[in-house]
Amino acid sequence: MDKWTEARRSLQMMETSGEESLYRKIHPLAKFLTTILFLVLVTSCARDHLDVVLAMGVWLYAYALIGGLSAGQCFRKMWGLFALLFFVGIANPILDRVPALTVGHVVISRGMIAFVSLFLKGALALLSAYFLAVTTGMNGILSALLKLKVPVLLINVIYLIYRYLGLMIQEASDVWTAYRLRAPGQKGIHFSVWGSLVGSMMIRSMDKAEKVYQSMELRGYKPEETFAGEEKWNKESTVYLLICVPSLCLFRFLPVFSLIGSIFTGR
Amino acid sequence: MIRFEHVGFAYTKERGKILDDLSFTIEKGESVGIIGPNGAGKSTLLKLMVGLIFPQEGSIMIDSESVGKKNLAKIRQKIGYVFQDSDTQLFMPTVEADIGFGPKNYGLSTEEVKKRVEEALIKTGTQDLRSLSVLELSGGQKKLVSLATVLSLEPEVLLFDEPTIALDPKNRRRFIELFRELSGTKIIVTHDLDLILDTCSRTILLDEGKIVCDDETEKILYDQKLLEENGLELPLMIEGVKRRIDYENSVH
Ligand SMILES: Nc1ncnc2c1ncn2[C@@H]1O[C@H](COP(=O)(O)OP(=O)(O)OP(=O)(O)O)[C@@H](O)[C@H]1O
Ligand SMILES: [Mg+2]
Repeated sequence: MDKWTEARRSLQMMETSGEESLYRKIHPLAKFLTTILFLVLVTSCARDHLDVVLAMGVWLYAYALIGGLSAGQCFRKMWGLFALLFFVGIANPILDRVPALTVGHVVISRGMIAFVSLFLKGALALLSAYFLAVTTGMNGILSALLKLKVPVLLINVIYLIYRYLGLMIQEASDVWTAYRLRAPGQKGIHFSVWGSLVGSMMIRSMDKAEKVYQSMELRGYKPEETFAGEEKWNKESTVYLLICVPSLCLFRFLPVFSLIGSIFTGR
Repeated sequence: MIRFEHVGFAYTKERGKILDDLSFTIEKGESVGIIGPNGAGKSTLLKLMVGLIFPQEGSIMIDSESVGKKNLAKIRQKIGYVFQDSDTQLFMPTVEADIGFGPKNYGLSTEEVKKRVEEALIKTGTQDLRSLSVLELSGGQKKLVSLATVLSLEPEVLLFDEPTIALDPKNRRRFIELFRELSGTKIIVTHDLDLILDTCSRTILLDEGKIVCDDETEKILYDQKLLEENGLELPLMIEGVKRRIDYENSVH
């Protein structure tokens, strides 16, 4: 499978909601709100509070375990993003070498802690978004947005970009092939033609995007109806919210690790 | 019924009128072929009928409604349009999902959507492609699937822009059979004059945005002079028969 096909396949994962997850029956709105809450709680963790970030990680791990979701899939599909996170955070341990604590003989700097917690925060945010995507699907997410009164225009844009991304990948792949056929023996694309290649691809893409949108419209696409959502709110969704929200807050605001520690040490 | 009254259309002021003072009426249940050289304005004509673009002059009526921004939803539910370029007509990840997209939007039940998809797959002979990605299809297969996405809507009026381009002879014949079975009003835009001879009783010849001729298909398609004056040629079939006659005359 070439890289283009693979990129397209990954995109499709959002199409059909989660393979066999327990969370499938839960109303999209419940899952969406939980994910948002998780994102807010994780990103608001102070960077030197590694323990709180870890507690959130434990929560997400339990969430995945109960729902039968696999994080490995996510790492495999989006390793590039994780690598990016790594490089964004790597400056911290280099710049900030003030020692924070020592474990045995190893001195751990403040920068190191900040780096680990930044990386973890990013990774957790990615994972939670991924879990939402695979258990809810794009249509579900958009129907949740619609219920939250997000403007229709925005929903249109998101949906069109999402729909169109697959075709754009194809477009890029075609341009790449056309280029290679006429510039044999070259490695990569010569920098002098990058501009015009990207430019022509953009124009082609815009034109195609418009036609795709027309095709959608002609077949009755109307956000209010397309994402009306067949799912009804059910008991499971209420239970889900009643468990997720308090437990999330508990993990975030109570020093869970120290509490557990004190149970064991009896102090 | 589709009625054009003195319709004039220009994409931009600089390019000027692409269609000029067009008037014609297509009755319910008619099969009409629209022919003309490249750039004559055939695709533009179809786009006007579904309200993708609006005329600057004149009016277009579909049944008792004038095509305008207000009643687009109503009009589009009546009309199915198979694009000239099937690449942009298909956008869902699988063939099946693409065919089901329209019916789902019109709020049909899950079973009904399934039934429609199934029927459209069978009619176009694309059952084996159902779970493929749209991007894995060949040119002809894309054409068949685009056709299916429109058939699943069961529209009263069907517009086909170059429906047989990219189809192999077998699928071309399948399309002709399918076309004949379909009820409702049908309009084909094509350079495949033999196709029109096989399917449409009436033909409109368009050149440079004007109607040159609007008559019985045979009258137009057998008229070599008329066709050649407008940048077209006799249908291959007729050409073949003529050669055969010439050949037999030369032998005897
Ligand atoms: N989006 C557009 N913007 C500006 N001009 C356009 C646009 N689409 C088509 N045209 C112009 O309008 C004229 C008629 O185009 P149209 O696509 O209707 O021709 P056609 O009869 O379908 O031709 P073909 O047989 O090649 O498909 C052409 O001269 C074309 O350049
Ligand atoms: Mg055309």
